[in-house]
Amino acid sequence: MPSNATRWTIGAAVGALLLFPVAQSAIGPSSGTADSGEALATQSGDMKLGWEIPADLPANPTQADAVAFAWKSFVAVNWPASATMRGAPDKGKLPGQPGPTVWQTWKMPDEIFLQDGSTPVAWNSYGGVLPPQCKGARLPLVLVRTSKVPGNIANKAMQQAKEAVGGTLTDQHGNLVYFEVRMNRTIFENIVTNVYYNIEGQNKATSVLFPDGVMEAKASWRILTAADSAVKSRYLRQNAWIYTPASGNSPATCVSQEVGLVGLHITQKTKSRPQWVWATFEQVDNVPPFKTETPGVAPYSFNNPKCDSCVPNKSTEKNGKPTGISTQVTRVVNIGVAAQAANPVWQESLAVVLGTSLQYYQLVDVQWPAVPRTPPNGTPTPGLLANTTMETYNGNTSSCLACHFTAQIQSNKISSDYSFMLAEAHSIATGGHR
Amino acid sequence: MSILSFPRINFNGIFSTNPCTANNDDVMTAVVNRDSDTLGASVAGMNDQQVMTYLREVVNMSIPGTSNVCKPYVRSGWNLYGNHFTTFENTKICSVVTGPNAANRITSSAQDPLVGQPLMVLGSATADPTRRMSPILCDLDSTGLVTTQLFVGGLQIGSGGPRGIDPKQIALKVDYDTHGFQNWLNFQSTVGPYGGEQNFVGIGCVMQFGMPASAIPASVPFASPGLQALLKAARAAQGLVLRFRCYEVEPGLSSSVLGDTFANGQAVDNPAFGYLVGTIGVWGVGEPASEPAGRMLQPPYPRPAMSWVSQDGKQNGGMPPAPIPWGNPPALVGNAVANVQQAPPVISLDLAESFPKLGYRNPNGPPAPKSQPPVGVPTGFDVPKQMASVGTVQLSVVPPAGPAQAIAPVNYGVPNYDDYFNFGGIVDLSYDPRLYGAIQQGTLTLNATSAPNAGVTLLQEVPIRVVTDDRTAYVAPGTKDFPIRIKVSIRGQPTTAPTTLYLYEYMNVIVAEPNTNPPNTVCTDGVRPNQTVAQEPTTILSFPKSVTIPAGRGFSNWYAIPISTTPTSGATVVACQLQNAPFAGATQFGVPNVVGVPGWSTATYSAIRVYDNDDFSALYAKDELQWDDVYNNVLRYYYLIYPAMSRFIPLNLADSIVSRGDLIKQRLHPCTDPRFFTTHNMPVTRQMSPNKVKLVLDFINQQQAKKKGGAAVPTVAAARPAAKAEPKAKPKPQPRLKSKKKKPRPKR
Repeated sequence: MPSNATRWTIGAAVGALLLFPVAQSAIGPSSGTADSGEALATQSGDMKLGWEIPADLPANPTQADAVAFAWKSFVAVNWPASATMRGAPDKGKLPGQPGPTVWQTWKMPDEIFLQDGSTPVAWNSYGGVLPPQCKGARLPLVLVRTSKVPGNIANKAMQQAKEAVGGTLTDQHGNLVYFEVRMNRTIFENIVTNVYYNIEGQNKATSVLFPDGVMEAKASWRILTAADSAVKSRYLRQNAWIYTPASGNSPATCVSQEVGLVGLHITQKTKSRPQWVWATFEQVDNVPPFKTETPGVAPYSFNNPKCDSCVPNKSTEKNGKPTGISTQVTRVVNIGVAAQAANPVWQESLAVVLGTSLQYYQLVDVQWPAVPRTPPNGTPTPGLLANTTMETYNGNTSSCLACHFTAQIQSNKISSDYSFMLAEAHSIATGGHR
Repeated sequence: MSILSFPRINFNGIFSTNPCTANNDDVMTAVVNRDSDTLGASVAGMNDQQVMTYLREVVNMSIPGTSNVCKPYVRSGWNLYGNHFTTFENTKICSVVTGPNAANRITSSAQDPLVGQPLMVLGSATADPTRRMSPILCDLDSTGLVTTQLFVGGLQIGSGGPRGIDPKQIALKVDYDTHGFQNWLNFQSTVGPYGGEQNFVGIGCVMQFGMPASAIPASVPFASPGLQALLKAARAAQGLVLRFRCYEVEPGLSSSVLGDTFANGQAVDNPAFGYLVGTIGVWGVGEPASEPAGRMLQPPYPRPAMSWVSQDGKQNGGMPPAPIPWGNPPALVGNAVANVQQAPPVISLDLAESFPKLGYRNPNGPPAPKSQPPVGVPTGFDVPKQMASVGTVQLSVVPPAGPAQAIAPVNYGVPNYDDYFNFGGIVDLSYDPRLYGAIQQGTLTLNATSAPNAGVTLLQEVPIRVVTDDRTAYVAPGTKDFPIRIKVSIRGQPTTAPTTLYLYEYMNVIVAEPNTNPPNTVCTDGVRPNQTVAQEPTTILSFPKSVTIPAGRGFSNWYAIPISTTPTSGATVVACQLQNAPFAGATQFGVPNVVGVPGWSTATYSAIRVYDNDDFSALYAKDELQWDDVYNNVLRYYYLIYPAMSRFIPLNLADSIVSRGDLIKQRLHPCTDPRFFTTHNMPVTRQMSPNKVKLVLDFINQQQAKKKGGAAVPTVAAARPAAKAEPKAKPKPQPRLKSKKKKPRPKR
C-alpha cells in the first residue's frame, strides 16, 4: 500500500449499516433482555443458538460433535457485535440485527502487521491504513484481497498465493471475489505480547505456540449487483469499498459496493486440539450439490449448469491476470456426512427462530486432529476439506491441517503454529521495506 | 553385546501405517510404469479428472486362487489418499529384562518406572520441535514384494506431555535419521480362517534400525535402573538398536466401505493397523543395524510338513512340505536368531517372527464403521490373543559328531500369549554349561517334541550367515562402483575359511492372471493381478559374478562389493548367495525362474533402484522452462498417483509450486543428497529421478528470479488437454514379464 495512506477509523459508525430485517416475533422472549442468546430455542439435545463461542470439542468426540462445535461457533461469531467492545457479542441483540457481527470486529492483518513494523494500537481501537483512493471511505470494510493473502506481503513464500492457490475467482457476473481475514483478541494480544507483529520480533522467537482460544476467520465476498435483487436476502451482506490496485495504464480505484458473504472459514486452537479445529461454511447457492443430476433451484454464484464447454475448477486468468470470464466451480469433495445431517437442522432452527440470512449457509465440514499427539499434524479428520470459494482449484486435495502445518513466520525460519498470518509482518528496521 | 544381550527393554502396541497404494498394481495393472515415475498404459489418454475418477472406482474381482469369490476392490487399492506416515500407537514399554531369571524380568512400574512409559518412533527433527514429521514407510519398488523401508528420525520414550515435547515428561529422546527394512517375511504370521478381502493380513515382518552412541543424550536423568543400565551399555558399544515386528496389519476400512465413501464424494485415507511387538537393546560393536546379530535359524530344507492346532484342539491346519528354500509354499515357522552367552550360560532366542498367532482379530475383515458389536464381546484389538500350538518345542544342538542334545524347552507363547507379547518375542534359555563347547561347534535346531509335530525340526541353524545393511539403495544413472556392504559369519563368529558369494539379479514380476476356474466370467472384472519375484532377464546392474571373502573378513567390518549401473534403469534385486545357481529355475504359472516367498524370507539381498537418465534438453532449449512441461513430465504423476502430497502443496498449480518454492527446495533432493534419507524428503516415495528433481528446482528458481524482476508467473493451464501418454525415458531392452502367479504379497 502507499506509504502516505491515511489512517482510518470506523468506530461506532458500523451501527449505521442496514443489514437485515429480523423476525423477532419468532423467537419468544423479547430482545431487550441482557442475554437474548441464552433465551433462544434449544430444539435438539446438542443445539443451542447462542453468542458463546464453544471452547473445545467434548472428550472422545465424533464427527457429529465436531459439526455441532462448528455450527455453534458459526452462530456465535455471527452474533451482532457490541458497539463498544470489539470481538464481544451484543447480548441484547439477536443474529440478523443490524451491525457487524462478532468476527467482523476482530482485527484485520493490516491493523496488526503495520507497514513500518510498529506496535499496533490497542484491541479496541481501529488502526490500519487506507489507500489514498479510499480516502472518502466511511464504511467499515475495505476489500483489497483477491486472495486469502495479499500480494504485497513481505514473505515471498506467500507473494504468489492468489485465492488459496491457483488464481483469482470470478463469479457468474464476471466480478472478482474478494477475501478478508480477521483475528480474534486472543491471538492479537499474543502477537503483541511476543512482538510477532514485525520481522525483528519474530526472529527472536525460538518457537511460536499460540494459547488456546486463538481464532481466525477468513471470508470470501462476492459483489451483489442489481441482478441479485431476488436473492440478496439469502446473503449476509454489507457495503464495502473495493480497492483495485493500479495495473498498467489503469489507475487504482476504490469503489463502494454491496457484497454478500459466500464463504467463511472459522478456525480455533483449543486445549484438546492444539492443531486447531477448522470449519468452513458456504452460502448455499455457491454451486450445485455434489454430482447432482438436477441443477437445483437457485442461480448459482459460481456455476453455470448450462455451460457444457466450461472447464470446471480451472482459473480463467490469462497470463496471470483476471479476464472477467466466470469461473466454473463444482464441488469435487462432497459435504461431510455428519454435516449433511446437521445442516438442515441448524438451518431450520435459524430460519424458524430468527429468519436471518444465516439460514442460507451450510457447513461444508469441519476438519480436526482426531489424534492430536500423532505427528506430524494429529491425523486430520476428515482428510480433505475445501471451500468452493477459497480452495477452488485444489478441492481434490485440500487439507486445512496439512497446508497450515507448513505455515512459517516471515523469515521461514520456524513454523508459526498453523497460522499463515505471521508471514504478513514487515520489518521495523527498514521502515516496512524488505 | 547385542539386542539379545542384557539389559533390554520390550514394548508392544499397535502399528499404524498409511501408505498410498495407487501405484501398487495389485488391483489394476499398468496404472504406473514401475521402473520410472510415469503413468502407465491403463490411464493413457485420460485427463486429470478422468484419472482421478478411474482411481476411485470400484471393480469386482477375485483374488488369484480364489476364483468365484468376487469382492469389490477400489482400483487404486486400499489407500488412494495415504500419506505414508507410520506410527506406533498406544505403544508402551511393557518389560525390562536385565538377566535370565524371573527376578530380572520386570513388568511392573513399581519395580522400574520405565514400564508403562509410551514409546514413539519419530520423524526427522527440525529446528522447531513442534513440527516433527512422522516416520515414513515406502517401498523402493512400489510394485515389489520385498522392498519396504521405514525412514525414521529417532525415538522417544515418555509422552512429552500434551505437545509431546515437554522434557520433564520424556524419559529418553534420541534424534537420528536412519531407516530400516522389511526382513524375514512370514506369510503364516496369523493362521486360521480369514474372510476379509485383503490378501496380506496374515503376513508379518521384522524391521530394525540402529542409532549410534553419539546420538544418545549425554544426560538422561530419568530414574529408571533398566534404562540407565541399557544406556550405559549402549554408550560403551555401537549404540542402541530397535527391532520390532508388525503383523496382522489390516486397513481400517474394507474396500466396500471405501468404495462407497468415494462414490458418496468423500475422500478418506485408510491407514492400516496391526499388532506391534519389539525390543530396544544394545547395538554391539561390529554388528549390523538392520538385523539382530547372532546365529540364524531358518526352516530346514527339504522342509517337512508342519501343523498347528488351537489350544482347545478345535481348530487345526498346516503347511505342506517344500523341497527347496526358494520354492513355495511358505513355511509355517519363521526365522529366529540365537545369541549364545557363556557366562552366564544363557541362550537368548529371538522368536519375534517365528510362530503363528491363531485367529484374526477381525476374522471377516474390518467391521463396518457403524457396526455395533455385541455388548461384552471383545472386538478388534481387544480380542484375546493366542498363539497357535505347534506342540512343545525345545532348542537342541547337533554336535559335529554324535547325537543331538537338548538344550532347553522353549516357551514361545503357549499357553500364555503374554509370554511372547510382553517380552519382545525373545526367550532366555539357561543351559548346562557343559554344553557350551557343543553349542559353539554344533548346529542349533528348534524341534517339536509333541503333537502335532512330534519329532519335526522346525528351524535349523544356517552356519554361514550373510547380512547386509544396504537392503535398499538408490542410484543415479551412470554410477560406478557403489558398495553393497556385506557381513559374513559362521555360527556367530568370524569365518575360518574363505567364503564365496554368488551374485544374481532378480526382479519383481506383475502377474496378470486370467480366471481359469469356470465360469470364467463369474467376476465382472476378472482376477486381481499379483506379484512374484523372478530371475532378472535383463541386466540393470554390472557386478562381479562372485566374490570370495577371505577368512575372518567381513565380521567386525563391512566387506564391500562394487556395483555399477548399466544404461538400463529400473528397480532390481541383487542377492548374495552361497550357491552358484539362481534361486529359481522352476517355471511357475508360466513365469520362468520364479523365486518363491521362502526365498525372500531367508535370502540376503539388496533392492536397488537405478533412476532414469531423463533427457529434458528440449525443454531447456526454450526461452524459459514452461509450467506445462514441468507438470506433464514430472508433477502430474505425483498429483494423480499420490494425492496426499498435494494436501501440503498442490502439485497441479504453478503458483502453488512457485509460491512454496523455498519450502520445496528444502525438501526435494536427489538421491546423492544426504537429506534424501530423512523423513522430510519429497517426494516421500523417493521415485523422482535426479533430472526430474533438477527440472522442478530449475523451474522454481527461474520463476522466483523472474518474480524479482516483476514479471508474471505462469498460472495453471486454463484448459489442460487430455494428457498424452506419459513420456518414457527409454524403452527397456526386453519387456517385463507378465504372467501368472498365485502367492499374495503384502501391500504397504
